[in-house]
Amino acid sequence: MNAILQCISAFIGCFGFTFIFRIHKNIKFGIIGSIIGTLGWIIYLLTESLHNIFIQTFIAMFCVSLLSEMLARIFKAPATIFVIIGCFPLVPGSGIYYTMLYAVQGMNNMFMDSLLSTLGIGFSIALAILISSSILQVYKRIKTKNYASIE
Amino acid sequence: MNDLDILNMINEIGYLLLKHGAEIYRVEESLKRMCEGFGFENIEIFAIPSYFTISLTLHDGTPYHSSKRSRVNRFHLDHLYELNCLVRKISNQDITCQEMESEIQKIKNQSLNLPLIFIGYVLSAAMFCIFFGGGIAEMLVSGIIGCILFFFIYVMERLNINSIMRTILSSMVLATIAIVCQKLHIIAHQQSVITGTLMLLVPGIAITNSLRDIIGGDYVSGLSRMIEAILIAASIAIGVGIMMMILGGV
Repeated sequence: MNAILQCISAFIGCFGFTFIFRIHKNIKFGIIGSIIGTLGWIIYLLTESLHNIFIQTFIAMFCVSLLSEMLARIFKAPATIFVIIGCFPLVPGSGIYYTMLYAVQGMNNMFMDSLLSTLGIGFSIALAILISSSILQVYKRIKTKNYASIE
Repeated sequence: MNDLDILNMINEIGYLLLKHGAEIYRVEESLKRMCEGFGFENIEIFAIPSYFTISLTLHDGTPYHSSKRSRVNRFHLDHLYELNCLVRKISNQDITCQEMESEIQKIKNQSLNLPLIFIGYVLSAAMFCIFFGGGIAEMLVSGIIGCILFFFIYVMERLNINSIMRTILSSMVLATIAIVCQKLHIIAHQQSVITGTLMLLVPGIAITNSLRDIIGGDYVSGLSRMIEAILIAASIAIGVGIMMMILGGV
């Protein structure tokens, strides 16, 4: 029940962000981006048995980024539109808060823990985007047989 | 229409792309494709997040150089999509120069739909509060905070306050309201409200865009955006932390 509530709120929340990033006319892109974001969160929840937030975030963001790149090819739109909207449920917003909370309370061990996990989640997101875009670039080159020359 | 008019329009398109948050490789590639579409030679283009320069040889052999500066970059995904379509048409030469000019004017003259942005602020603040485990009362409070933040950020943008100070002040405002509401027993827990509304300020875009720049091989732009992301995250933490210390809402 809690998970379903989270998914619904993630969808509407992402949809709200499409307005903030000024998708006012092409509403369909906003809806697609929000669906991608929700899917990312569903994947995050499904991989909960791994008990490792970094790997969970990595897998979820990897799927989000790969889907965005593919949909960008289909709709002939920049992939940024989908990635920006889709990454929101995975961004470590609560990590920043808890890091600050523990710092203010003077709980140094907890502070280091949550600081490192916030940085780690950020790093996982970065790595996932890096790997998935590279895969698609390589795929495009192989498909069009447009190999780069070695100098 | 002569070469210089065409190049002015290409410059304008590049400026708009940069201003509305395109990745660096997209700006460079779009400009290059458009120039190639018109048959110019020796095209060299370089761009960083606030600046780009073009140099090429015109049809009559004269060298041409121009550069543009964009101080304030603002995400506008609608325009990004329209510009992308326009660039594709121009590089395939499916469009006349008059149509090109009118399309650019159309993109430039669109007015901003502020009510929709306002709805976006309220909706995402309220919904991300539920996402982080808030109840009905928490949702209402974060919706109100989202509403206040919209006007607060609007005023600060009109006053042209820099983005770091803006982030610190906005996170101070949201932390203050959340902590006061908890002290008044309107809400049971402040964390869902604070984390939900923090999502409005979190630098998710800066991170993704900087990574996409680094993938494209533009390390200078990637690093400058990465530093922006880190500074924004740090200023959110500073703003919330200061208010938590002052109000003792721990």
